[in-house]
Amino acid sequence: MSDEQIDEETDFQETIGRFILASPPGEENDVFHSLETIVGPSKDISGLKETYFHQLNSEQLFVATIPGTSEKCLIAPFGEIDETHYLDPKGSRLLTFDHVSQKVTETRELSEDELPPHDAIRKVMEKYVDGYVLAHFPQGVSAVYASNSPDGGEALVICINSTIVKPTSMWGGRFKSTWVVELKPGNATVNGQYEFFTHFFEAGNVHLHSQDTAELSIPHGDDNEAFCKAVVVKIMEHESKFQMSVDDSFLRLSETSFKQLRMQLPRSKTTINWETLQFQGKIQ
Amino acid sequence: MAENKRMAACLDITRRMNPAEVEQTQGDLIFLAEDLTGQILANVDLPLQLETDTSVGRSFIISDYNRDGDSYRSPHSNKYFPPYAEGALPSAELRQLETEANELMAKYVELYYEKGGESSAYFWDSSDGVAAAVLIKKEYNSKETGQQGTWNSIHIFKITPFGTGKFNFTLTTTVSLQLGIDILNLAGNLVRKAERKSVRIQSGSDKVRTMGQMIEESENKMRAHIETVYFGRLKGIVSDLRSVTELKNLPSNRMVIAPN
Repeated sequence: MSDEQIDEETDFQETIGRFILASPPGEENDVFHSLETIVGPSKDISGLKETYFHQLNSEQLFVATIPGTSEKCLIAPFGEIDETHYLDPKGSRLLTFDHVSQKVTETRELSEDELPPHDAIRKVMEKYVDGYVLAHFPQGVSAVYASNSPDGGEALVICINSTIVKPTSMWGGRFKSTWVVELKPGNATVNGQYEFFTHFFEAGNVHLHSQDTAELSIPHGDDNEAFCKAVVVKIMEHESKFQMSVDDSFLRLSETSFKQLRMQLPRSKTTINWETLQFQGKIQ
Repeated sequence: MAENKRMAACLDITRRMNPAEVEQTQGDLIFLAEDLTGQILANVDLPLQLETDTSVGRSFIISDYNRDGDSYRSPHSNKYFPPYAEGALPSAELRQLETEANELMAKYVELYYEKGGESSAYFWDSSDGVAAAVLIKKEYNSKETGQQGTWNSIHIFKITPFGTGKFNFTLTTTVSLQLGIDILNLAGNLVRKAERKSVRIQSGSDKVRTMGQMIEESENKMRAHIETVYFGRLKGIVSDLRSVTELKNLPSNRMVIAPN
């Protein structure tokens, strides 16, 4: 291929990728199907599906089901062993995951020496996160991963995903958050990012996007129970504050921008008398 | 057939992507399906933009409905900007209707949109009668409230004769509304169809007045609908995803994390 052809092919791949990655919750397969129709049978994009569904599933913390059960788990970059293998720390399992079909095809119990590092504190954190998710997310799924902080120290990553897709009611939505807890003695730094993304598509297409980040510092003494509980309480408070500010933004937009853009009725408080309006037009 | 399916797929994608990024979506679709460029340009509405008619010193809305080549026809002077001598012009009869519609819509916009509202109406001959596009645009930006918003409404009329002195009017209205403040961005398009059958028409003024009445009714209904969707449904979905207060009927053995 010439340089120009290579550039064109790169642009093509990136364009396909941009569409897949921008899919609203639960619509990635519809988006991909339409992309296949647009590019036609002469161009095979199944390889791109593998690449970009892998990226999409990881970025969106895809909620997968354990085969033969109703148990849910997350497909998150923090649990990735390789492209098709993911840790399910809560179930102490290794999952084989097919990114294209978005299904767990196999599970295997982890042996003692395969367990994540610093698993004791991880389990304590998991217990509190589970309690929080149960109390505030009707369909929430969470995972706590053992990880390393950028400076090589121990860290935990808390992931929460609450996705509801209701195609028959013409909407889908997702809340997701990721919190990285650096386990430093003294004070632990906790960095979070959280977002809502909803899509309403009855007789139209309406998107809601809202995101924010937070950085917290939480005292970390010898008591893991007290520490983990304090972290999760802070997370809960921040996510609730975020949600309340979303609610407040709705109110402010409806009371100001929306009214400024188009009024419900003219200042006369009545609909237009068109004969009169037309007549006024003529005498000027 | 294959072309129709591919165009339908382009529209399917457009209906799923963020309306706030429709320019990117349109550009990407044209890149993937260059042979459908014309149809994509005609069917994927971009945010309405203004151009200045320098001959009268007034602005007008540009869109695919008044475009010929790279120029846009002004409803005020009937001239193309940038100048384009070969640009298509409506017949004298249509131009008369168009002028009257533009004057009337300017009055309508003054009443419902007040300062900053813009409107333009364009007419053309269709296979079975007359078609028209009435475009309305308003923006709101406030440093004080940190809010920004854009309202675009696009009204497409088909007016077809129905017996002697009578006409059928069909209207498809698309309202695109974007609202933003700090952390929250809402962007969407909603579509509504309306029709009036067998309307007795004696003059161009009757025709234009019927259009105005239909626009007012449609916009009033859509504004109410938008209020329900944006500030009711979307808000409801957010609280379906996460509850600020604790959910009811929780298992009693769960780990309680409420602050002490």
